[in-house]
Amino acid sequence: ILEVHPATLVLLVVPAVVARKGLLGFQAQAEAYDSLVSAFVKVIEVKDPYTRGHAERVATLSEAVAGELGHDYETRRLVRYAAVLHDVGKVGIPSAIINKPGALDDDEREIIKRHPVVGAEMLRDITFLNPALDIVRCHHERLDGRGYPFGVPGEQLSPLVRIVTAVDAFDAMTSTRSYRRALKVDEAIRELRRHVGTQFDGEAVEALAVIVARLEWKPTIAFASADELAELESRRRELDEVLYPPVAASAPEAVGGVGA
Amino acid sequence: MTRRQDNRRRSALLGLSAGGGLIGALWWVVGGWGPGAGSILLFAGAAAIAELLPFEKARGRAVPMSVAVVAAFALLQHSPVELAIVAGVGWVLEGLLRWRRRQKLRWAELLSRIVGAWSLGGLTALGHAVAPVSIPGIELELLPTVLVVLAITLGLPYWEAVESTARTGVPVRPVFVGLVESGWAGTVALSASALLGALVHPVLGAGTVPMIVLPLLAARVGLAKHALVRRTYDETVRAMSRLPEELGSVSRGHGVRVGQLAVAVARELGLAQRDVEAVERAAHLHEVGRVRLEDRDPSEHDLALAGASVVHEAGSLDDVAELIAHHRDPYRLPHQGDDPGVPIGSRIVRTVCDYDRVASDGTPDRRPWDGLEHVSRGMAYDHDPEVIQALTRVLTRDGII
Repeated sequence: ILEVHPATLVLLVVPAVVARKGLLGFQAQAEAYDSLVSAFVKVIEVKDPYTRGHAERVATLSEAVAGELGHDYETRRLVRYAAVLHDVGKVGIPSAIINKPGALDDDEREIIKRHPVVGAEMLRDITFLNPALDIVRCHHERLDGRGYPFGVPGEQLSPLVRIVTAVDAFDAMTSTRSYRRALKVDEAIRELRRHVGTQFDGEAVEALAVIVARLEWKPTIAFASADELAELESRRRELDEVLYPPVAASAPEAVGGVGA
Repeated sequence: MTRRQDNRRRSALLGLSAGGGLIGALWWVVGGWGPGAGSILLFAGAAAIAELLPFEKARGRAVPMSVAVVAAFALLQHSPVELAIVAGVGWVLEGLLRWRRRQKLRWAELLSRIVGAWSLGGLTALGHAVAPVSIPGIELELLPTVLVVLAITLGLPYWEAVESTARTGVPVRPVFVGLVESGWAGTVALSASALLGALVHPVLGAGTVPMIVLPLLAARVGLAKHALVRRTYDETVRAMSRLPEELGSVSRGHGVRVGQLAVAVARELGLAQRDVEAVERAAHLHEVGRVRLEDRDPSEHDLALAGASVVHEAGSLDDVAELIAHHRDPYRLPHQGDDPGVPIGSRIVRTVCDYDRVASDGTPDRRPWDGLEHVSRGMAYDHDPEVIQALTRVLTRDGII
């Protein structure tokens, strides 16, 4: 072995350099990918400013909850990206409906309830997301089969779907809406627990409770001017009642129905 | 589930070929089977391992890692029959995996493996015959080494480019340059490992296999990660093309169709691979401005600018944003010459977009002709005649018109 020429060392180094180049390229591209995904999500948030930051928060919490439940790194990453993109189907809801003052008719409700399907359809080309497309498709389904858009029975909802469903509802409850204040974190968790078994998965909710306690999670109370809030009051309640029946919409009344 | 089965089968085959290599090594040590046999089995085992672990690329076919093993074997000046055995065994093992998945065995691939091995062997023999000069201080001869390295770094992508030309009719040169640009890191690693293998084999014997395969595996991990995230990036851009389509103002699949056709036209016009990619992304995203200006009835110019600003925010896509910003500008104005401020990529996107708007919305057998007629009428200011000509050639070649 000692007779091996020094040139072999050079030849050994070349693949290592190539590996390094690949990993550096991977890093740069992964960062570029994250900003691409935020641009993707931002398109929705521009359309519906009330959901600003929602996707990112749901992604952060879902990833943490998946970790708490013992999922591996690859799965956590998958959950993160599926969660950040879970609402992209909302692009199919015309702004006229989102901004409509007053009651929504049945057709409009149907269009709103289609957004999970539209989102899953849009994302179907992204190969690495395929195993997690159900997160997008079923994030408004319930364990008792009374969710939308399909009314899929609970046993068909994967653990990952259950995580994002709970986190999505949690974030909706803990963000300020025009017609009510944001619930406190422990109020929201209590609300989720009340619906474990019918709507949410117990394990996911308990893991979420652990995570928000650990992260000292705070409700999101960032919104535009008071004028804007007043102006948007009626239409937001309508939209939320369709998007998050019954917890997000009825919960405030149950807890005391505090107005904004 | 099938993926797990695949992985299990893959590891079983990996073990099997490693075992084969080990037996070869034993023969090598004992030396009872003559000078050739042990060596052949050793290299065939290494080729099998390498064959199961191809170098993934973001675009184009994966490069088989077995190239390095076969090239090392060729550099050791083995006979054509021995080369064919080494190249074939790895392929057969991988073929078994395919066959169990009920996929067709691709005999053409076996042939290309063997022909490839023979070419490498032939180059070595040629180099040896022309100038039997050793590299100072090393056991390898200069000319064969250079020829083999060239064959791996340039010959391999050239062959793939020729093949793709035969399939798609796209000019060879830009495809070749693109393949070299995107794949040089992999082929350089393959060449280095091949030389290393040939160099250490006389000294290390069985130790040659890990010397070739392990560094390559490291390189592969890095390159595969990069390739995966790049592919995902492209797929996500394609998914974003559906954003404006969901609003109902753009017909379904418009972005993806324009993307495919724009790439073909860009290649036809001989654009470099980097520019072709920018054109593809611009084509996918050119309508995205509509999601910003949904409620208004925006002018085409405003739409283009809104789209460019969305894309600009995505970061690292500035060249694509530039193409989108200009994609509604006329390529020349009345009484003026060609406007160099409108990039060729923008012209391609515009023409293909307008073509598709008409072609995807008419009676089936007239559609493509109506589309072509529509863009041809705008040749004076809106549609660059060169782009229309290229589009016509692409459509003719694909049998669409």
